[in-house]
Amino acid sequence: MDTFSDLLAGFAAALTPQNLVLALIGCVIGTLLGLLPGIGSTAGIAILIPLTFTLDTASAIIMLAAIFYGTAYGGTITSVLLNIPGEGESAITCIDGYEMTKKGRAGVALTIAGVGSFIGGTIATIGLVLAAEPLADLGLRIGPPEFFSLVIVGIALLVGLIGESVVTGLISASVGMLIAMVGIDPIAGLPRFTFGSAHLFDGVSFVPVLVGVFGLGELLANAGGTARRPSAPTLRELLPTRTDLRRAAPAIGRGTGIGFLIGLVPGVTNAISSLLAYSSERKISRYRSELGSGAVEGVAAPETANNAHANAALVPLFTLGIPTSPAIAVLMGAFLMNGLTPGPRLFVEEPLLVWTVIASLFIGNAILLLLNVPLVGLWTRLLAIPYPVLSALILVFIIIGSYAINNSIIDVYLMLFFGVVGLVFRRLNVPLAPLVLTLILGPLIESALRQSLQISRGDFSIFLTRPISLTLLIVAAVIVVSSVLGSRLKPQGKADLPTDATV
Amino acid sequence: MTESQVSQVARPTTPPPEAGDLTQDGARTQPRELAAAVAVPVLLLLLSVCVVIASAELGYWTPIGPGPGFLPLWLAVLLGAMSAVWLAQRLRARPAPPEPAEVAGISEDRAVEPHDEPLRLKQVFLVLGSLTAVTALLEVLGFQLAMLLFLLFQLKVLARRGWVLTLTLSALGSFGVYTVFAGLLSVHLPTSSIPLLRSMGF
Repeated sequence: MDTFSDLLAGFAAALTPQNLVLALIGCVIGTLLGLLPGIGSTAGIAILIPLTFTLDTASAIIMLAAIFYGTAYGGTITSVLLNIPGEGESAITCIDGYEMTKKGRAGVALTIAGVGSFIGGTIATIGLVLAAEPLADLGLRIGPPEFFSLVIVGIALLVGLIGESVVTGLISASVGMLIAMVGIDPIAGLPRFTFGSAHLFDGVSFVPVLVGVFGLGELLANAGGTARRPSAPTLRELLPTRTDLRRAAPAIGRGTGIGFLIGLVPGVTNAISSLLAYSSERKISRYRSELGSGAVEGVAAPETANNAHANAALVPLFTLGIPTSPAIAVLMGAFLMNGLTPGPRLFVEEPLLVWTVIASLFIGNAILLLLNVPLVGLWTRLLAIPYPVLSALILVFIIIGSYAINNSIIDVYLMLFFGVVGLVFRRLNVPLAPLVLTLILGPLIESALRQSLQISRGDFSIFLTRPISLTLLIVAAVIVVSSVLGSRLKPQGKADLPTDATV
Repeated sequence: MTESQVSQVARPTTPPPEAGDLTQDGARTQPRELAAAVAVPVLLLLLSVCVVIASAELGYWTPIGPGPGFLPLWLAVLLGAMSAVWLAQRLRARPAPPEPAEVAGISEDRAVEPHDEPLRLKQVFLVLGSLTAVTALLEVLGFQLAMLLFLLFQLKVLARRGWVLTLTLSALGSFGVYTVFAGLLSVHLPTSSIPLLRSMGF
């Protein structure tokens, strides 16, 4: 079958009433997570994974994926109206978005952001459709050594780009990986670090760890705080003028390109895409002098880029089996829990499932456009919920999510422990993204490493004698070395970069 | 009075740092954060030593390649080395006790960044304590009753909301959530281990 008929079959499966409703629920939850403080998409998806156990795999993934890209829409609302980024990737939108709000043009900003997000997301999904099979073919030729080196590049990028320092980044990555080591060892079948507890023979489930680190950790860091309430924004008119559209169009185009390309790179989060899109506007836009004082390009470019990124980030997941960001890593975890390993084989083994999920991305982006643009007034009212009330309700779901994964109280205690870890790491500016990536990929990294060394009979040069693997390792080394050397230059550029606490 | 003003006023009269009861302002958090900044790398260093010892017992190499202890050992070595570097960085960066004016300046600058806000330790312990309590009660009272108590505490005591809102949200968050999750979504939630309560459906 060719790509087009595959995609049509995917649409047929994605358009069933059940899958449509689940996509809608996912989009609503995603928008909420993006909008409300205290919990981001990583913890959100992790909490909801247990709730999808009763669904069939395709439906579960459709809903969880919708949550993932839905958060990128929701985060815009608070950035524009309140100058508070609900999610890291919307941080840069605050600059011009909030200026537009002060000028009474909040409605226009949100409409442009919604339309830009839709265009960026849709074009990136078309890119996914076109790139999927050729890349998956390539992926099939990748052996354990190349996979191992590719993951190392991903970790190097996360460690080098986000966070304060390479040192804390590596600490985070090794802690995540060590947690993943708990349980029965995949080759010799020996229990490792289980402290004699039968519960830990299956390993530490990533759900309580992530819910703790990202959900509870964030709530604890803000405990007793009060979130700012919106000063009832006047959405005078949602319809942008013709000038707005004419000015936004090129910015949306550039944002799509940047977001899509950056989204393909493992280890780079969509906060980077929106930042790059904004800085490219600052350099090449015709209206660059107006940026910073409420220019429509300053909203259109980053918002488009982060949605293009979110959808493009699924390309490496589906074709190579590499998650590019923490939220995608959790999504990958959901695949793994359903007995599916994302990667090139998935197109061979479960073509309908993959194409159904891809088709649902188109549908989800359309749903989000409808949800966000005309209904934006409804969402803003939710922002009036006082933070302590909100956090009490989120805590209920945090407990349910960590309990329901294995029906075990031990997991709830684990979640509490990792909540404290998350709080401490946040306070000390230890980046959390490397931890997620190694936690979820841990077993795969270990298998790849050990299989490689079995192929070479214990000779480590296998990683250097295979050209793809060698190239990837050189790239990783360059990234780490340059970020160590460049750390003195970082602070100025860093000021704009959001921490990954909100991922 | 803003936080910076508080620290500006409080600092000269308050001997640093243990005395004084300014638990909620910036003046007290600085030494505490510094202590944590040193304690955490030390703990991680200890963890890495434990892991190295434990991995050595697992078997480093087998005839067919790396053994179960291979990767944990090297990870622990990496973790240990990085923690040591981090500790050294922290100790070197540890500033002398700042002048009052500086304290005010710093807290003003930092107010922009959410993670540099003073941590409200009392609130953190209240949330953690109530979470531990509700977790312990989940399999005793069952999800519904345990969560009802938890929400009553959270909303009435911590969030200081009115009774109407507290009772409505507590009932929705406990009985309502249970009905939806256990009933409609067939998610298993804990039930009571006390026969009488269980016979009542909790």
